[in-house]
Amino acid sequence: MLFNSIEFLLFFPIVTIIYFLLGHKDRWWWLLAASCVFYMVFKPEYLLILGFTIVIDYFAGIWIENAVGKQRKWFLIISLFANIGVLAFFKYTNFAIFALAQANIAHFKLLDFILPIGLSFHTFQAMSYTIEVYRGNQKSERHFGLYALYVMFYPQLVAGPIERPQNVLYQFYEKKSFDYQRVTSGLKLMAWGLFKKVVIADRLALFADKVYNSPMEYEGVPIIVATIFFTFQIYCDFSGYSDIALGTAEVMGFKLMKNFDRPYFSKSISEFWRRWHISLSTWFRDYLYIPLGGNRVGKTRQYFNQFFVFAVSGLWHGANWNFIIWGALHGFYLVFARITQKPRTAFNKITGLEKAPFLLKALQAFVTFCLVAFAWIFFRGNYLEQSQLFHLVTHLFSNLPNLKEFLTFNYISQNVFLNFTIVEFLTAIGLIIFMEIIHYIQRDKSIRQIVSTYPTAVRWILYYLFVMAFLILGIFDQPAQFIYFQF
Amino acid sequence: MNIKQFLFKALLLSILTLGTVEAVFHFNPYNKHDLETSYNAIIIDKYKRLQETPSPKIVLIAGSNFAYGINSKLIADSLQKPVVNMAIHYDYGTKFMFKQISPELHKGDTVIMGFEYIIESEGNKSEQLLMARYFPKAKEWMEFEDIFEEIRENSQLRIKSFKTVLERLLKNKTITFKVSDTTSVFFRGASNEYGDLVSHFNNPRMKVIPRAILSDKVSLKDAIADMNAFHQEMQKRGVKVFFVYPTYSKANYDLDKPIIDKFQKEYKKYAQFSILGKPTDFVFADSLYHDMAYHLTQKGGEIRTQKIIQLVRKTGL
Repeated sequence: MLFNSIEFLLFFPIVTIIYFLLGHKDRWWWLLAASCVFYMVFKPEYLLILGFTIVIDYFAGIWIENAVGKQRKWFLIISLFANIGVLAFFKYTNFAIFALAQANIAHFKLLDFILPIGLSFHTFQAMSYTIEVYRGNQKSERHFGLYALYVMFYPQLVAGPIERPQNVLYQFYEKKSFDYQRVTSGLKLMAWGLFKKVVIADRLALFADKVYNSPMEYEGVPIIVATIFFTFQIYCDFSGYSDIALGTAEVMGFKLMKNFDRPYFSKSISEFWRRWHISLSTWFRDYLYIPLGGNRVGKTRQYFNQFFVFAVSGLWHGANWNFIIWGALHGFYLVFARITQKPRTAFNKITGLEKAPFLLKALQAFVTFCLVAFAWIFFRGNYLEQSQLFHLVTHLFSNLPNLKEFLTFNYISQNVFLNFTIVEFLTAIGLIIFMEIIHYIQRDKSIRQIVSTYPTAVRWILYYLFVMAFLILGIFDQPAQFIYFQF
Repeated sequence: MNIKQFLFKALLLSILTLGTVEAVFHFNPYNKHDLETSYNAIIIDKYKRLQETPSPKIVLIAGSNFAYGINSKLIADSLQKPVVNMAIHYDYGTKFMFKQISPELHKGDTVIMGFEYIIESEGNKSEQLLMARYFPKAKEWMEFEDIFEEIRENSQLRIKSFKTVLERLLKNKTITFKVSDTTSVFFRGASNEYGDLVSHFNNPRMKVIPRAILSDKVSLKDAIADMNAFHQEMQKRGVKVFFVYPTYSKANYDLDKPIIDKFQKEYKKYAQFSILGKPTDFVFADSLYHDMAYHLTQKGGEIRTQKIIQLVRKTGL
């Protein structure tokens, strides 16, 4: 079920109201049943795949806890094997078959099935459970229903945040009461997430899709404009989803981990990854980078590990070379940044940038933004043919106009507005600025808290205007799927 | 605050906001103007003619390729039967179009179908609802997958209408259309008494006919199944049903030939009704097209109509 669908508009209040009307004892099964319905809207039979890994991991958790010595490791391996096996089979088999055929090594028939929605998310969440039990950070869950709910909790089932058992499981045991402040705060977060998706992301998609759907027709400025729009589109799309997920959980009294923290204000790529898709980057840090040796190994090995982890993270996103390149590119950025740390510091000193910290920070944020945006070309181009992607990358700066040419309405209309009207273009830009201002204000204090201190009449006017703005500016032609659903 | 008070507040806010949208939808100051000028409202006049024309009559059904490129008077004079051109837009889908004409067809009538290569069975619900806005009977011709689709489509229509009204109020603009002007094509008064579009006759044609969109991934199987069902029903009533391929500009045909061949194979394989001619019978030089691969000029329409008459005559009609 999509968060931006009519179905969810009916599903959410019904599930939530009944949730609050039920006693604490009965809430787990109600939430679990609701989560099953939420998932079954996509493809009912895929519930069996989830069921399979849930059963394996549930018992694996208990066995790991009860076992001693090497046995514990074996049970962990069984669990990881089952999860990675399911993930590999459904997500990477066709990719492998295709790669083998391309390399002319072997030719197999491609498997004909649709990827189970959110597979990478709930598989990773399930794996974090058995790993944490193995590490002794989490007791194994004996209540099968609650464990199933941990994996299937509908707000974060299909696109995260990828939770850790220590953060969620205990919350299912807590008695949650109806708390007006918390419920309205959650609803406001949901509304903001929906606004980011339907109003900003889907509007920016109109611009990005125009170029990325027929890439060969464009060169230079339009590619740059479309890529910048996509950079904000994917942020609004994914962070919008996370906000709705966090808000939905908050309404019912659950606190999920924050997934985004103003990533485009980052001053370095490593900072970007501390602010972007936090639940995934910390997953890779905790369960892959650190086990590979983390920062405890030699520098060369560290560089390799960092690069490797990011390439794997690219592969996690999709069985496609584009995603691997996207991840590897980020890995390269990180390694390059570490290698060039000293000369860059020296450069800042020589040029005097060090003495102008605001300028330096702005410059760093700008460079980071450009690097991230460039990498998004590979991410967005995952459906494109190789030649089309190559064209986009190689024609990013070709056919650039001189200033006189650029400053004509005809040029701007075609290449910057991408043949949309000036009002449509300015609306898109205005919405990006509006969102970033909101985020900037939220550095110190939550807007939701600020709004809740206003008198009732003012709050109602604000709510009314917000809904009207949502309806007027939103793109409602079709409920557009969230980009990260495909993973 | 308890849950009941909260729900009351939430309900009140929903009523206030959604009420605004609903109020604008129903008390839209442009309703009358749109009813008189909207292209979707052309159904009012076409349907009236369909109801009022006595049997035996010839009914033409398709998308805009029939709306543009047919001279119904020529057919009526040649075949000595009154003609009703019910074609408006391909996007309504076959199911919707057949429901539209079925109740008004009687023994001795003839139906000529000429659906585009992009025809779908279900059609576009937004377009169908838009028609229903001006012609409430059209709601009877609609089929929703489920209640959610119905709510979604109705909500979208209201939101679209809300935005349009605000925009028009801001711009304070009403648009007038005339057959005699050289720009308008799609509006209620754009057709002649038979239902043929004549509004483009004195408009300048495009020098280069743009590339049409055809996909080899699309199958016409569902639409053909609808045509078969319609044909069976009509056979029981003593109504003859024929199919002719849509017109398609030469340059586009040359590019899309493999896809059109695939569609032709599908028709041959699945169709249980009479197909008159072949796709190439209706492929003409680009100079005979107005603004796209399916839209003929007045002259093109006449040539194509003659071709249809020839083919229909061969059936003994």
